[in-house]
Amino acid sequence: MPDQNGLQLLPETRRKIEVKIPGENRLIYAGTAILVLMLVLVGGLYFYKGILEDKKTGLDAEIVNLEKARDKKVETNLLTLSKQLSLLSTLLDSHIVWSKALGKVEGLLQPQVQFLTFSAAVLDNRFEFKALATNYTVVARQIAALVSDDSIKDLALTNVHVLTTGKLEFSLKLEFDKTKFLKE
Amino acid sequence: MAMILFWALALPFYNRISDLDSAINDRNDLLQARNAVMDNIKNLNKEYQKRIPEIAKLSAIVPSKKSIAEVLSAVDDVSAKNGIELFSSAITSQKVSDTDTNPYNLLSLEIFLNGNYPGLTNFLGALESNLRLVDITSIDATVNQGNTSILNFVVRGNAYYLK
Repeated sequence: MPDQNGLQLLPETRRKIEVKIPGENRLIYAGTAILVLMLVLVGGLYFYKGILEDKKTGLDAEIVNLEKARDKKVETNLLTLSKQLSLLSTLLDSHIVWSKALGKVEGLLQPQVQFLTFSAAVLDNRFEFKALATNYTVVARQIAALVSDDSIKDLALTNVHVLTTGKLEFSLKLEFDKTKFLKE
Repeated sequence: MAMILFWALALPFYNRISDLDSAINDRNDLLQARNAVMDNIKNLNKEYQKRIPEIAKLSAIVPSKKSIAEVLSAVDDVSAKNGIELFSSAITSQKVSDTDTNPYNLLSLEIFLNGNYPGLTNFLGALESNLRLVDITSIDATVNQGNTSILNFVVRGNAYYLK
């Protein structure tokens, strides 16, 4: 504004008035700092994730290689052997020895008794025979001899009759104790 | 913006890292266990190789296959050595059901023989001590119709093979 009679009411140039308020930019700085920290954190996590993924891939590859290195034939052989070993003791424990059982019956047989037929089965612990004897006393002795053996649990005289030759034909059915009669 | 970054990137990364960490631990455990198994198998195989003759005998007792030919050959050999005639025989496999806990299958034997009583007892003795395990389940003996000095025998039994 021009000078009017020596009075200047308004300055000719305008001066900007700046009022400084302490702490006015703090939020901006804090926000920026948090943003930077967050970026660093995200970057760090991303980097670490990459490392872990590589490690996982490496471990997967190692597992696959180990799987490939397996010798299936050796494993099958060992598995078969293991089965055989576990099975063997069971089977040997229950192994049936008929030669011993027949030897036992022979030992109990009276001299005047002659076998005609015999039949034996493990399933029902049965030993049946048909034989010839000279008389009833011999049959009775034969029964007594068989009953005296602790491996014979029960005995039945299923048939006895006189033949035209004068001899007696008789049939006996024995029930035996498998653990004593058939084991070594 | 920082919050958006946290929710959009940092948190998913963190979760993924947790998952990866757990997956890596699992794989490490698995790898260690498998390595231990492999080492055991290697050691067992070394022992296996050292004891092959004994294992071969063991395999003959309860083989992994039916081996019918071997059973027939053994029966024929045993009967011939004990002076009794192998008249006829039948060997059939009897598969035990899968639900059965027995780890073996049965091979049923039905052997028809002609001979005398001492021959039969010797035959049974030899079969009982045969390397291939055979359990005789039943024996039937009758006098031969034509020749009373000869007996006819029917011997039934079981041999075993692995499932």
